[in-house]
Amino acid sequence: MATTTTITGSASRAIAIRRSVLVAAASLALAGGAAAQAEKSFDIALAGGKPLGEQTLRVTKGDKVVLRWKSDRPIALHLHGYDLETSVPAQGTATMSFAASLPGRFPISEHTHGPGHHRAVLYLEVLP
Amino acid sequence: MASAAAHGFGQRFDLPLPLWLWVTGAGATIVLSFVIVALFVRETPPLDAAARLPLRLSGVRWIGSVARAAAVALFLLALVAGFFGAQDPYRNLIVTMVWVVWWVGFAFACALIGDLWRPLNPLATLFGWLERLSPRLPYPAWLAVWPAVVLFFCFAWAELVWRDKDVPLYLARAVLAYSALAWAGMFLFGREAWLERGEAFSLAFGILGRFGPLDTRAGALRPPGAGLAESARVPFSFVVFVLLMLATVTFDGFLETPLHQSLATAVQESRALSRLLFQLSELGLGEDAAMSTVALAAFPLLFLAAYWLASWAMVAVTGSGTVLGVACAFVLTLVPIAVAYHLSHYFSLLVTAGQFVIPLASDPFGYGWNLFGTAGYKVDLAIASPYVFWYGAVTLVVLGHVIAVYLAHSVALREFGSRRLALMSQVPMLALMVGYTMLSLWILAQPIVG
Repeated sequence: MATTTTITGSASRAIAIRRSVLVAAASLALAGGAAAQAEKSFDIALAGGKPLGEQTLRVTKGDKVVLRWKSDRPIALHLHGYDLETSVPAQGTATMSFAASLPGRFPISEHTHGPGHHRAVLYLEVLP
Repeated sequence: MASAAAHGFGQRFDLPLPLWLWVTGAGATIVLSFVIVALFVRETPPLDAAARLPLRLSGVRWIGSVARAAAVALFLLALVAGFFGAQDPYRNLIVTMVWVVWWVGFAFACALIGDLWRPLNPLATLFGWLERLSPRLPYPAWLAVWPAVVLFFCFAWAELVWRDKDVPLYLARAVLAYSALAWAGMFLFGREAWLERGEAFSLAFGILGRFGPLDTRAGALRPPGAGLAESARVPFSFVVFVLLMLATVTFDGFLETPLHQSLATAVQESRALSRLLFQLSELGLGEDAAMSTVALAAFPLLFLAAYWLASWAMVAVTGSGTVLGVACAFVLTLVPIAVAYHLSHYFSLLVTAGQFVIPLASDPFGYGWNLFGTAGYKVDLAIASPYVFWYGAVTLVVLGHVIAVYLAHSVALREFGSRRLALMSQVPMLALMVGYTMLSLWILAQPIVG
C-alpha cells in the first residue's frame, strides 16, 4: 500500500512537532485560524496483544492525536488507512503521533509477516 | 474475517450510523409504511405493463457486440493474471476484478440499471463456440433451480469464509472450475436451460436486475422495482434461491458486528459446541471457518423460517390461498430491502477499493509494467465521506423499504382479489418487512470489527 512511516522513540517527537506546525499552518490558511486544534492523547497498555482499557478510540477530524503504547511483550502495530507503524519493545513504550485528517473507522492491528488476517488490537474512529 | 478481501483492501471502515440517525431511519420506516397502507386503502396505484416505455435503439446491436467482446477480454485477462501474474493480491488484477469490480460493482450496475449479466455474461458468449455440438438433453424438471441454489451457496462460502479467496492463483482456479461447470451444464442441457436454472449468477444478477429500470430482455423502461412484481408465482426452489441470496447479503454485514464476535467467543468457550466445531475442523476447515460455515448455512434457514411464518400468517388472516402459493408469490417483493442494504454497505468499498483498477490497468499482472502511466496511483481514502455514507445509507434503506411495501401491496391485490383481503394479508408481511429493514439499519449502526 502507500508509503509507511515508522515512528519510534524520540523521532516521533520531532515528527509530531513538525506535523503540528504544519496542521496549525494549514488550519490558519483554511479556516482563518477559527478552528482550534484539539490534542487528544491516549495511553494504551497492551497485555498479550490486547488492550486493557477501551477497544475504540474516538477523535474528531482535525485533532492532533498522540497514541502512547505500552506492552508486556514486543509488538509491531499498524494503523491502517493512515499507514503508520510502530514497534513497541517488551515492557517498553512507543508513540504514534499524527493529525487526524481522514474520517472513518480504522483498525490498528498487529503487524506480522506473511499472509493471513489478524483481528485488530483496537480501532480508531475519526468522526467528521 | 468478513470480506477480508473486500474490506481488508480499503483499510478503512465506515463509521457506524450515529444513534440519532438510526432512530430517525427506524421512525421514518414505520411512518412511511403506514402512509403506503393508507394509500392502498383508498385506491389502486397502477403498477403494470402500462407503466412501461419500449425502447428502440438502433445502435444497440453494435454496442452489444463490442460490450460482449470487452467482457470476454476482461474475463480472460483476469484469469491469465491469476494464473501467471504476481501473487500479491494488491498487485494482481483478478482479486480486485472478481471481488470489487464484478461482485460489488456489477451487482450495483444491475440493481441500478437492469440485468446486464444476461447480455454480457462472458461464459455464455464463450460457450457460443460449442453450442452447435450440444446434445441438448432435456433438463430434468425435478432439478428446478436447485443447481443454482447449491452453486450460489458455494460462492457465498467462498466470499465470506474461504481463507484463500485473495490468493490470485486459487481464485483463478475457482473461477475456471466454476466456468467449466457452467460450460458443461450449457453443453448438456442447452444454453438457455442452464443459464435459467443452473448458472447462479444469471439468477442472482437477474433478480437484482429486476429491480433496475431497464428491462434488458424486452428492451423497455419501467419504474424501479416494477420488474419484481411482474411475474406471477415463482417455483419453490426459486424462493429458496432468493432467500439464500438475501440471507448471505445480511450475513456478510452480520459477520462484522461485535455481536457476531461475542457469539463466536461464546461458542468457542462452550464445551459441547466447541467439541462439535473441533470435529468439523477435522474436515480441513479451521475452527473459525467451521463456525462461519455453520452460521452461513443457518442464516438462510432462519430467513426461510421467518418468511414461512409470515406466509402462514397471510394465509391465516385472509383464510385464502396456500402457504406455498403465497410464499411463491411474494418472495421477490423483499428484494428492494436487500438491494438498499447492499448498496449502503458496499458503496464506500466500491469507491475506495474500486480505485485499485487505476494502477492495475497499467500493471494487471503485477510485473512492474506501466502501460498507461497510472501504475503509481495511490488510493484516495478521503473520497468516502462519512456524511455521504450516513445520510445515503439511511435514505436508501428507507426508500428500499417503501418500494418493497408498495410492491407487496400490489402483489396482494393481484393475489387476493378483494381490497379488504389484500390489506389484511399485508399486516404480517409489513411486520416482516419492518423487522428486516430494522435488521439492516441495526447492522449499519454497528461498529465494524474485522
